Amino acid sequence: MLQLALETLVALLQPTSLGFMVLGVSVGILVGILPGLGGTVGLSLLLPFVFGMETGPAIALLIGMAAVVHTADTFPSVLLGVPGSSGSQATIMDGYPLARRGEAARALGAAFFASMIGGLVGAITLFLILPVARPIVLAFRSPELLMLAVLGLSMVGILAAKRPLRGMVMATLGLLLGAVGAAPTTPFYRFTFGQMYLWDGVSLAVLALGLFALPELLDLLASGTSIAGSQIQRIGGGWLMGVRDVIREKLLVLRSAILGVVVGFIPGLGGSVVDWISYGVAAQTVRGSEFGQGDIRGVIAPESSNNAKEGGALIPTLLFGIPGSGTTAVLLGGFVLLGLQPGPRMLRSDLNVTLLIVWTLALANVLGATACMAMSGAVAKLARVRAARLAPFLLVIMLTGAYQSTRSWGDLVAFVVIGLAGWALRRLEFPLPPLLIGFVLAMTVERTLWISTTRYGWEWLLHPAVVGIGIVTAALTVTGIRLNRGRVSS
Amino acid sequence: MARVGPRLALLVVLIVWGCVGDRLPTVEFIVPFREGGGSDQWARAVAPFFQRHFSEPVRIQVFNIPGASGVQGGNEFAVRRPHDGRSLFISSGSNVFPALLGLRAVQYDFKEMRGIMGSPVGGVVYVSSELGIANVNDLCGTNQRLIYGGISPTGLDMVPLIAFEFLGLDVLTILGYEGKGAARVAFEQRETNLDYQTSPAYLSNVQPLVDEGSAIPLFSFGMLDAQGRVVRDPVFNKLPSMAEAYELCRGRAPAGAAWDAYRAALVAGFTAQKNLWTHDDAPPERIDALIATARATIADPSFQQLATRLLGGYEFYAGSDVEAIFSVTSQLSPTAREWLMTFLREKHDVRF
Repeated sequence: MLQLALETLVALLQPTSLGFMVLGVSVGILVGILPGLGGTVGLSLLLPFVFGMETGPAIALLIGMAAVVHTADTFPSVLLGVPGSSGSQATIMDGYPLARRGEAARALGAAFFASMIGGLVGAITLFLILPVARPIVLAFRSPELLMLAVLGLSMVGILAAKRPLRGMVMATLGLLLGAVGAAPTTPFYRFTFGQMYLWDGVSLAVLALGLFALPELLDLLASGTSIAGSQIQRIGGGWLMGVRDVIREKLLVLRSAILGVVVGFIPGLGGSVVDWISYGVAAQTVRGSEFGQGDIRGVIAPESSNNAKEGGALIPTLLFGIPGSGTTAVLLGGFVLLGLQPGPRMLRSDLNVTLLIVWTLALANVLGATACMAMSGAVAKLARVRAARLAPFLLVIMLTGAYQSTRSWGDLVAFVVIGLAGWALRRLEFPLPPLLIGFVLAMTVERTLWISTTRYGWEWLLHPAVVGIGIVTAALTVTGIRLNRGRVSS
Repeated sequence: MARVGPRLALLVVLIVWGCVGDRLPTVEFIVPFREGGGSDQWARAVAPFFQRHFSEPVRIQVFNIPGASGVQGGNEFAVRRPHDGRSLFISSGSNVFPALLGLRAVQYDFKEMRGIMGSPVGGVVYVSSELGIANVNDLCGTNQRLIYGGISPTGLDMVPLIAFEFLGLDVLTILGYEGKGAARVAFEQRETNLDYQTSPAYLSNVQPLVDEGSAIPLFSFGMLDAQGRVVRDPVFNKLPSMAEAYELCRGRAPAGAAWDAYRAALVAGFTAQKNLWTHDDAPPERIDALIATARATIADPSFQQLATRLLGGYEFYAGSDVEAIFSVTSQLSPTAREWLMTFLREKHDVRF
């Protein structure tokens, strides 16, 4: 095993493979930075070129791309308050206030370093867990998946902070939005109003852009200033401070990274909300925090977990051929193009490919983080540009990003409608993250509830794991409410 | 800022050059599904060979129009694209079934298309060894609780669902799994005990279970031959086909409206799973050129190598063979359609 691992590393370090990995990383950074474009789009861009390539360089290209999207997507989240991809929304919560205080470089430095560590943890876990992961994946049947989704939904209470009722309302709205389109359990189309566009439901990319990007842009334009306001501080110099922040918070980094791996690893749990879950858990468990007002730990937690997620998501992808995230779903198509059939043989005859994936994941994360840090000084100057100059450019990119979801006019209409609704909700101080969590988990909850009751009747409620996760959910909810109450009274 | 100017200018020049530099005529492959899916892989595999064997220099462009399980792309092709033989459409089981059932949203009609080339895939039904079922006879006589997990009654699952009904099996059907992969995992988790997989997935993920003794293959869906009979699947020629399975269980050859519906669904989902089409009123010489290109592609040894990898032992077909195979589906009799609609409505709660 070790010898094969070394041989694979040497193969990856050959000029061709290394070159393709660098190319993949560059594409990954680019789609990460551009709001609305994420790993799925990046892979779709690369897939046509993979055809006919040799396995080694092709894997280096694809995994290199997928590994760094969640490193680079931090740029717009921190600097503009606009998510670079659906995995870096939670980073905005504290990263953006930091940027407004003139500490953009510190936030970026911390984010990139945390991303790198998270990515490495993901790669190492993938390597260590893969040989023994089969029974673990098999332990999560439909009732257990349902309870995990419910656990995810309970994060809503924490994220809504002082307004739990409003959080519930938004989460319910999210669940309703998630129900639009083809029902998961029967061929029936709900709330489509005769529009074929709505058959596939609302696209996650469009929803995330509409909710988080367009309202921010409108507010920015209305304020008429630049993001860093009139603060005259040295933006470029602080990234080392960010790195020191991460080293000081090493436990938080590790914890968040492991959380990321676990969420990525469980199919259907919604790798796209891993940043919110991680942020929520950190907000609840870190003492004396000022989350939401520019606490560096609010940047570190989601950034450590969203890179780690990819390592976790690859476990079910490689072992069973079932995708753990949106990105791995497209990746699966790429594997088949290369003549690889994910399944038990990824640990036997195709073990070298698996090891190559692990190495690429690790190296690409280091490379991506280094590149982003090198760029951060220059890019951070964006925060000084006046909003009116930046806005048209951003709007075009966002519209392009939204249009990438299904490439029909409906995407643009949906983006504007959701954006305006999101802006109104924000003005009325309704928390938006719960809506997103409800939306992402809607299908999983409905699907697994249906399967559980059809298959097991009510007996599934007594499965040991179901009871266990249920207790954890209840405990988290109760302490969450108490904690928030305490915070309000103080 | 001043330093950015020249670089930006260079970029613009490069982009403009890239856009106008290539003046070759374009032939478009419309894939009505996302990048990376089965139909997309199929199109991207065929495209470079098609380009190489085309009678004149052309550029093949694969264009994805995902949405509404492939119906959106089909409608775009039928309604918006010029009927000039330069626009080709890839059909797959998922967008043939809605047409077969006559859903209102479908604006395309396979009777108004000319087939260029296509390819089959197979499917194998297997059970958990814990049921004590060793063959088809055991299956039909079992008093064990059979549990099947699938995705949707109007997709590929239609074929096994009709098969189970026709064999007279009492099956608890759970539809709603996220994909066939998730359904296979559910089988391994003992959430279900009866399943089918398409050939590539069967070979890579079920064969190991068969080897370790936890899964037992029972029969294949079979393939439709030129005479319209259901024969053994060439890749699984040791397993009885669905036609044989019926004879084993019922003691007579299958016939009737239900059997016609099964054969139509079998063709749509498996025997003619992926097909490349153009409009039938396109210029005849262009259609002929396309079919000639398809034949040359199929004869290319390096394409055959790739086809083996892609299809796992089945063979591509071209030209009039496409319509010949497909006719069972496109010319389904009204009584068979009625049987199918009633079955889906009453047994699987499908609302039309």
